[in-house]
Amino acid sequence: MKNDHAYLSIDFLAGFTIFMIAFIWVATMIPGLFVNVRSTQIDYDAVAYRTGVILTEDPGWQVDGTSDWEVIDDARVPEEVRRIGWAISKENPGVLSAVKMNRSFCSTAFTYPESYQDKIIFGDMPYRFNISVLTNGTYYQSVGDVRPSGAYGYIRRVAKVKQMSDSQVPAYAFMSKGISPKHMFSPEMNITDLLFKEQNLAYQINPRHESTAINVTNISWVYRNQSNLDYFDGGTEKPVGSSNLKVHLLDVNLTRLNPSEPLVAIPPFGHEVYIDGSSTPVIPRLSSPVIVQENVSIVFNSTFFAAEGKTTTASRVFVNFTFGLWNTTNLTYDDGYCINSTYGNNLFRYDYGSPWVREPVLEPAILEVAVW
Amino acid sequence: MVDHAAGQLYTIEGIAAALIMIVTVWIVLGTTTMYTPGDTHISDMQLEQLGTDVLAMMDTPNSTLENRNNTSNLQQMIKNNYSAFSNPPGDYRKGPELFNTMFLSYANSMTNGRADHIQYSATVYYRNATTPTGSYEFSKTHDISPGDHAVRVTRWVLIDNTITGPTDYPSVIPAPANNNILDRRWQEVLVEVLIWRG
Repeated sequence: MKNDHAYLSIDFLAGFTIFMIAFIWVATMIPGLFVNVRSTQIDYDAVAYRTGVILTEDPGWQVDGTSDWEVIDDARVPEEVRRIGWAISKENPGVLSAVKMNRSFCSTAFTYPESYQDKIIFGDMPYRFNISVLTNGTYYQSVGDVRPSGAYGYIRRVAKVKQMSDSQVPAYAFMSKGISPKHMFSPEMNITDLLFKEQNLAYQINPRHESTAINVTNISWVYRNQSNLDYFDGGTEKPVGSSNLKVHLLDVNLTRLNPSEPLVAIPPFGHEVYIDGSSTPVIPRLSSPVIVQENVSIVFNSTFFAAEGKTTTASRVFVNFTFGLWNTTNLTYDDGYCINSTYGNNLFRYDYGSPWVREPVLEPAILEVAVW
Repeated sequence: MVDHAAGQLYTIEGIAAALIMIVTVWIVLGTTTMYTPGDTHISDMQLEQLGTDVLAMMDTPNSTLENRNNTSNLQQMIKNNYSAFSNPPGDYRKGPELFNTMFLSYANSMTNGRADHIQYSATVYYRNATTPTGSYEFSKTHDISPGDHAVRVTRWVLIDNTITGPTDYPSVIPAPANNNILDRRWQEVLVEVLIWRG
């Protein structure tokens, strides 16, 4: 009998080859099944929707796991910012941080379009996009290409943007009860109080994350009313006419008090002092006295207090304005009344409920995302 | 011969398997259009999201004070169904009229300054003592017609109904006749808004 064991039949080889060729051909066709799903409108709409959700409901994410990506400086942004989100926190979807929004439109930190594709849009395809926001019906910000005339994915979200807090301190409310040639006015910012009295981040005054400002106003009242001090005892103001007294701003400095530590000075870098509404700030440490007609403003940007060595969440900060009463005739500093925290116990606290403090308000904003 | 006949089966099986696979893929490829739904669903989703956002933002207090007093725009509008009040400051009108202005302003605004053309019809549902629930028409642009393709969005709004309103008109209740029916307590009312483009 013929023994045909251990022979490989040519027929089997032919059949197996046909099977394998067909199998490989079918396998290469499988990805084609998803081409239609990926490249049509449904995908663009989904990406636009996802981007809208990330921007309005997510506070973002940086490399250390926290959501404070907006404080990272330009050089470290590419590596350390993982996801750009605008929400104040996870608990406040729809309430956006103006600081985060402004930061994400900053062209020195983010390159167009790679940074945005990498940190907002995501996905393997290099989608083109347009993101635009209109805050309070007037303030327009956008990034991206002009929308195509053809099909693109689109979503529109309505949100609110948290605005910065500031304070307007009128001179007549904090006048000294005694006379002196030089006066120190020291508004206090108790960071512990500000953070713990209002714990809802949407309404919190947070100097360590958002800009704040102190504006001392109505300074002309000081030299117009040197001989008319019954005004702040309930009398009416009587303009005195021209006076030979002028108010000089001699110095502005910051001090910090941490629990169980002595009072220390905060380095004068990063805050800006503006006189009489001028758009050019004077240098923080004044080299010579400056005449003030009406107001002095000190502005702290959102990263100022959180910077290394400046404050902790338990700090109390004192902003010390030193004023002098300059006699333009005698060219000396004369005794007189001025805005002062010491004489008359007029300590001004930057705090909730103060008539001079404007707490953060939320303003409506429209966000549109287009992806194609 | 018998040996050769057995070998031919392998070739036929290979061809048969190849044909089955190719036919299967052919059929599957021919039906992929089923995986791309039409635009209707997407625009529904967009409109729903927009409506939900608008109600949520109208019910978000604008300041610390409003937050502590539970007086978001939407809460005040529902409480002042018959009495004029002012929010935003300077605009003294009744709740439903202010709702109309604010809802349309939020829903129709676009970042390029142009306006969308969204219409709505809002109803408030509440509980009272005698019947389980009651409802009243709160505000609308115009009646919905059969041709309009509307989506429905809702939001629960907390209303302090312990405060007695003006003597002629109570706060939440739609008609003076119902004055004694609605419970004087905190109420969670349901605001339902139908939205469509028209």
